[in-house]
Amino acid sequence: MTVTSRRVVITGIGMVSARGNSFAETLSAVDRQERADRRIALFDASGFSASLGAEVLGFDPRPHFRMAKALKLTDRTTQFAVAAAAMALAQAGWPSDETFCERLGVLIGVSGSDLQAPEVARALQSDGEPVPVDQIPVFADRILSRLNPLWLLINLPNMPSAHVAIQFGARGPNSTVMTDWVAGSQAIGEAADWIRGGEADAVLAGGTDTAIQPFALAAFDQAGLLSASPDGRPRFVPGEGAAVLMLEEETHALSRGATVLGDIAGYASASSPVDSRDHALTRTITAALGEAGWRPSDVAQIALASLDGTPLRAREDAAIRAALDECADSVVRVDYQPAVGHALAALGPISLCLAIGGAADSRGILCNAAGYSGQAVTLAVLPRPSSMSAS
Amino acid sequence: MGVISAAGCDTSTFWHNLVAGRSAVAPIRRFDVTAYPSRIAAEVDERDVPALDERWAGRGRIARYAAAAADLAIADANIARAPAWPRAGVVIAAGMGSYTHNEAFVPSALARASQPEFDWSGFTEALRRGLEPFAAERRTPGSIPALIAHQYGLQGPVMTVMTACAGGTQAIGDALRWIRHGRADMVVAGGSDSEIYPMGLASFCLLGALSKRNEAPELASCPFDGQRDGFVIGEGAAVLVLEERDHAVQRGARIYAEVAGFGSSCDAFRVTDPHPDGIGGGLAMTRAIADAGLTPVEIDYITAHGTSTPANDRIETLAIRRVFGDRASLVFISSTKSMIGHATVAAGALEAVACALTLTHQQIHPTINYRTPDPLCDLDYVPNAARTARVETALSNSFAFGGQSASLVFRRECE
Repeated sequence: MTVTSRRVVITGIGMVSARGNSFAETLSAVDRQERADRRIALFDASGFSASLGAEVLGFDPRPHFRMAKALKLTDRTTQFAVAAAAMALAQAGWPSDETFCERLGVLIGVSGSDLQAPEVARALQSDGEPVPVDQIPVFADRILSRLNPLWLLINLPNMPSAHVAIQFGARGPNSTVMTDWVAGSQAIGEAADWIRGGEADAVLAGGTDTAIQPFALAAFDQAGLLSASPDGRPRFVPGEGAAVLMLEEETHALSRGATVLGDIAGYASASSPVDSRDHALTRTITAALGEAGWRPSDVAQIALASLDGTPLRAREDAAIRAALDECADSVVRVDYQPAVGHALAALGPISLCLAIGGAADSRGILCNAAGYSGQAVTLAVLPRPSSMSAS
Repeated sequence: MGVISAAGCDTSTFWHNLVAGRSAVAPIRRFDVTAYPSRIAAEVDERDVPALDERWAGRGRIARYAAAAADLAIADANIARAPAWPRAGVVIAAGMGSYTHNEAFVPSALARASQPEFDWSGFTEALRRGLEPFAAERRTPGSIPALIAHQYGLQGPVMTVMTACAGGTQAIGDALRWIRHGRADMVVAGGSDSEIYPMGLASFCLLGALSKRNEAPELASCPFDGQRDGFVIGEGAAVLVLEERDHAVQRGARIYAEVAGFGSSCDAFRVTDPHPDGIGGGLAMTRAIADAGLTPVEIDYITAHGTSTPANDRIETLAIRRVFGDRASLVFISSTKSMIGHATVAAGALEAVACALTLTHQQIHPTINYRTPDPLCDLDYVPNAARTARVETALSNSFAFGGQSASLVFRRECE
């Protein structure tokens, strides 16, 4: 990084997860070590090898939408993102002043879209013989006459970012990252660059996603991820949720009296083929440390990207060792996946926030994210536990 | 630079066709469109798409177009084969298509309707049975940049962006930031999309966004014309190799143009309509021009978003007027989409290539099909015939459903 004069701090955290509909709720549930996997209630998932998931329960998006009319144009991931952003703004004490909003950006990561399978299915369902959808005129006739005309607008992956901007009047830079499971962490890293480079004074950045939908479950099932492990529990728990951070230029935050919860100190992204000996996480950890100006001994904890007992974890452990050398032994490794499930692109941001919330002191946190095509992102963050407890 | 487009799958054919004002719009051939209200598109002739490395086998059109455009761009940049490029990254804007038609829709059709509730078990069973091996992994747009990086040993950052119709422009802006911030010395950047498949076409028809001038396909895309009735769907990919200037000069690379500035914004209005005052578009242009260290007076040419929808062209004109004031009528403006349709997420990247070629050749491609003036679109759209002009700086606009707006400024490379 060459543009380092502007520092980026966290002034608000909003979260929706399987462990609670706010950051505070999630944090205390994780502290109690409750597990997240339950039978999926959103729809009948009994046709998959396992119907357990870490589902967001009792979620009501309405209080988080300033303009209720917009709700009918939103899917679940957009609602999670708007709710998390609203909570981050509230915690940050962000004023709704219009000049501030011109410099407020939005950058949300999401892995894709769920195609709204039930909506499409209702359009294609027949009363008698199945609709021959391979006959395109028949398919088109059904879709064009029965599907919600706004289907595409509800479904586009850029909608979480768009709706967050609409609800809170954010006219700063706006984008959507869709780099599979690293998208949410990458959004935080890129948003920090927007602030450092002066494109924005503040950015609502994070991830939103859901794996509790039939296409994702079918893909995980196909990959064998839902099969039970010897102890009877599925290794992999599909999850969902969102975490959105209010990132702010430090002097901007301090001048309006905001409480600083942490500092974004470093970010790196890279990729390596999944079958190569080299792991991109080695490079991203090293680069994030370098950008933060940390030595390996400055790292107190690492929020992990992969689940215990999997080949991915073995690779992540090797990458950590390669990057941190003997300091790898003393670093506390935290894995929030058993608690919140694999919330896909939201897992990184949720893990980062939980690591910040759980920090005992202000020593460094690294947060890894890994995609299934070899993408890797590492964030380096300095928590400020005293202000966390005060807020 | 590399392009996969309806106007050709190499930059010289692409540019030649644009300057000649040739429409690439025709009746859709790829599937049976009889049931659709809009039955025309600017399709890539897939026979022109170069063969790909085997790692792309089984992947969808969006990935294959991106890979082909990247191959062409990397060859054009004359990057010597190295085992690894530690400081080179990839950022691609890609459309969201992930499952085949049968994977996505047969399960819905097979779900039994006799039950009062949706037949999840029937749906699930059909879904599990129909999914091709590695379907999610092979088709996710999120993997495209990583695969390009692995193919060429690029070890820097990788990212997929998805700001719908602003995506291609956004990706180039992100690449510019990476280079400026020192995250990479070289970035393979661009966009790829193909929404010309049964559900893609249906989704745009449902929105009422497409031109229904099926009887005269080549005349249907008529940006800024008084008779415009919607956009014509296009497809393709464009990839540009962006490089830190000294890095490029040191290795003796041919420089097409300088990426001088980027601006991003959001209307923050509605997802269904653009802000009536063109707020977001105006902010993106203003920010990109300022980022380039320029003032609007110094902009010679604009590659408009220019979709040929009634709302976009009127509001884009208004936004240009707001940014450029009295000088708006002196700026050359043209719409690439008049010839290659709206390549959705790829559009901004294809238009970036057009911008760079405008600066290289000092020639402005026309907005074709301009016949009937619209009093609300009263600028110089370079109608129907190319012009030779001195163009030192060019601005490229892209606006998305959802209100995300992005603009880039390019500057002519002086020898």
